[in-house]
Amino acid sequence: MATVQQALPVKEPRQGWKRYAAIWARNEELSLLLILAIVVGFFLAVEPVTRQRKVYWDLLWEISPTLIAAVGITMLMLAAQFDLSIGSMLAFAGVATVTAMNRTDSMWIGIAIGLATGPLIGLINGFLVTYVGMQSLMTTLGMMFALRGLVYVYTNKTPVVDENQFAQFTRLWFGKVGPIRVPVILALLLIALAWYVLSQTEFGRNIYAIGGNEQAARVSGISVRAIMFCLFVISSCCAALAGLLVAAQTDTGYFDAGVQGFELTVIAAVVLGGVSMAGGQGNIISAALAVVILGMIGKGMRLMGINTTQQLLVVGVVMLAAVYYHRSRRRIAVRLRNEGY
Amino acid sequence: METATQNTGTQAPLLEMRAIHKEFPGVVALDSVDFDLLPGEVHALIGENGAGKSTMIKIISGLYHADSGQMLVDGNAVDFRGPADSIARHIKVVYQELDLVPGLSVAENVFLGAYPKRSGGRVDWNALHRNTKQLLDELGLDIDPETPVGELRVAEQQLVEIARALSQNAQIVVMDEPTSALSTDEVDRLFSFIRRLQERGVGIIYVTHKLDEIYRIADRVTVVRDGKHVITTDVTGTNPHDLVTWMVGRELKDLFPKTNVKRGPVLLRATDVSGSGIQHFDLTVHAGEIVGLFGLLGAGINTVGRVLFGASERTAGTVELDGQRIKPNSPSDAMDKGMGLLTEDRKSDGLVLPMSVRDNMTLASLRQFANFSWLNSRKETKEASAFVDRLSVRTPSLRQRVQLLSGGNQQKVLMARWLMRDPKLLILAEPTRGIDVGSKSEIYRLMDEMAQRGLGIVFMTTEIPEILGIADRILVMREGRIVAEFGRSEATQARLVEAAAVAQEMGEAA
Repeated sequence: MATVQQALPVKEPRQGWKRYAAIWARNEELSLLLILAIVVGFFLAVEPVTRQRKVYWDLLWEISPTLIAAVGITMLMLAAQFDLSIGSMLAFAGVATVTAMNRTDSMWIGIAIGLATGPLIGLINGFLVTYVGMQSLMTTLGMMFALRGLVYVYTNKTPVVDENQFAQFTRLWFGKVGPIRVPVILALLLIALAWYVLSQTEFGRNIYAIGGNEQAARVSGISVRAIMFCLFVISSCCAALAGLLVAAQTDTGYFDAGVQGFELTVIAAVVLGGVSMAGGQGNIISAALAVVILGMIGKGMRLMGINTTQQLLVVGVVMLAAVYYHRSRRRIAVRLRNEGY
Repeated sequence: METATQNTGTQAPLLEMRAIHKEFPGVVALDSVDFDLLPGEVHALIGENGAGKSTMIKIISGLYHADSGQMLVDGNAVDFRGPADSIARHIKVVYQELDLVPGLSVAENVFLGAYPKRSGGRVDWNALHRNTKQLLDELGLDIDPETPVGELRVAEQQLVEIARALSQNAQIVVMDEPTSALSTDEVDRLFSFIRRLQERGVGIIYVTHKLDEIYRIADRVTVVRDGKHVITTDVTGTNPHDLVTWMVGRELKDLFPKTNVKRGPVLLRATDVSGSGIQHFDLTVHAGEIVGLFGLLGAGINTVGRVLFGASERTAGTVELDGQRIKPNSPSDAMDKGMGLLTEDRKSDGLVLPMSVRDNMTLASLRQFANFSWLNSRKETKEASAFVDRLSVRTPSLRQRVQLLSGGNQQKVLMARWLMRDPKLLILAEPTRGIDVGSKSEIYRLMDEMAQRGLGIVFMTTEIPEILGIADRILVMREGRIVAEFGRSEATQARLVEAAAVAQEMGEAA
């Protein structure tokens, strides 16, 4: 590395605020942390309740299913693929879990079946996209409707209640390890794992290569199909795990879980976190930060007593503002680079 | 205009640039550059990559704004604030990277933004197709106006882009390496079209790396180097050697540093290979040998590489590398057995543009940096750094996005990607396409060096001088078949062209 830089024409050291602006503009995580700080700062100022530390642990707890789903979606989107079926997966996995528990009177079998919906649906999505050659957006959109329909038909639109009332099952949501809730731990572990895979392994590098230029990846001997296939399975598995957590929350398999645009929220957050819709660019930490930011906005407003209808409006506007901020930031980054910072 | 020539006489220039200065931080891109374009002339603009040609074009097109200096169009001072201003002055730039919409038809592209309208704002489709057909006929292009542009070959797309210039009634046309993807036939057609434009009094700025084209088409030539104007002169009275010396700023002793390497044992033996677009193809390559495949566009030269490597379908025949059979349609098997492929289109098939120089280099050999699954990035950096030195890749750092490198350096990054795997045979498809003379020479030097190390090299090109300069053996292809074979000593330009264009039966020309 050192030898390379020596070969460069030596640049004069640049000074002034532009230097810091360049650091900010170039750094995705830093820029998102700044947004988070602004959001948190705002609520701290207007809503005293938010001054309690518990609020933030609760926030992480509440958004853990979203975080988990975002891990799968981020990896998939880095390879320039989509999965819109994760919202329906939430309901499908939850209903499957509780139904299986009721049928077999065994919590473990229920959990196993619930988790198995992940690879099952992922395999179907992956097969259709990579081997049949269908577009991922349409394939998973179809899967989204089909799964939701299946859940409706099967449950007849009534919640599936856990007849055995397994206390162990609800601990999946309410349990604690030390001071931290189980779902939060799961989410953080998955994020850490995804960070490791994406930034430190051959598999991860290949994902970026596929998203950046699929053709180049193929000619470099990367088995594009196999990797994309894996990514669909990973995405579905994450969604199934999230579905299990949601079901554990109420000890019920709810047919309308995730029906209010869960998949779009996750995708929006991931894109807000700097993952390119075209693939190849972004990272998991930023994506997770963006989920936290969106979660914080929602939670803050709830604490302020703003009703859900108004919340929707604010979330929408804030999201547009955030996208604008991002875009400006990137342009500034380019401009500063051209100016030599 | 002290350099104005007798044949263009006293005409007022269409475009004049006076003491144009443009600076980017740390770099003076243009240092007080003068330039002028007369009506009806073809003015070639040449220089190495980074010399300032593209900055000049971007100032003319309104994409950049000069820091100081004056630009005049038709004798009036202009101050372009954006491409729209430039277009309004009837300036049309045909970029090397085409800006066509692949999903739209030829007609829709040609008139994009200026569709003929009927009452109520409806597009007049009949007029659109009729006008397009007329333009295409004028160009001598036999293309259905309703064909989606994405289905055309690159060469045809380029001509569509030029038809667009014509439709916009341009007075000044800037062509940025227009022939880099054209076959000899198509180049002829382009040139006759350029002459027609000239007759109408259109001025053409012609940017190119191919010196022979300058002698065929240009009236005057301007050479820029390191942001400075070197010379503007009539083309008659110069020779290629002068041009190269002006461009490079020193005597380029030997463009083709070819050494005689002793031919080793047979490395690659492809027997009766057929597949997508190629038929009954036989090829043997020895260690230390450079085999050149020559053919006109559409002859299938590049497909050969893809089929051998497994990136395109092979339906019949066997490929053996160093005695080991290579499975069809499996790039990873070909790679494992020691084959590497540099595709002809660096941007669409080779580089992962948003990735760094280092990550692009190591992409095909990640396994050697992985302990179990963990990538040892220090080792990666070290290896990539060694290749940056060895191939003298000019990049500010290994973390630089490969997108921001010049074409020659991008090509070196791709060469590093494959050399890192220590291959036995390397297939290079048009390795010098769109690269300046200095970098070309470096690529040739690298090829020669690889051959000295005992690598077998197959390379494809549509440029005759380079194949004569660097290949030990030349195979000529036509319509997916080999039609002739020449040794280094027996090959001449005339023989190659004849074989590629006319030869009917295998072996007749050889």
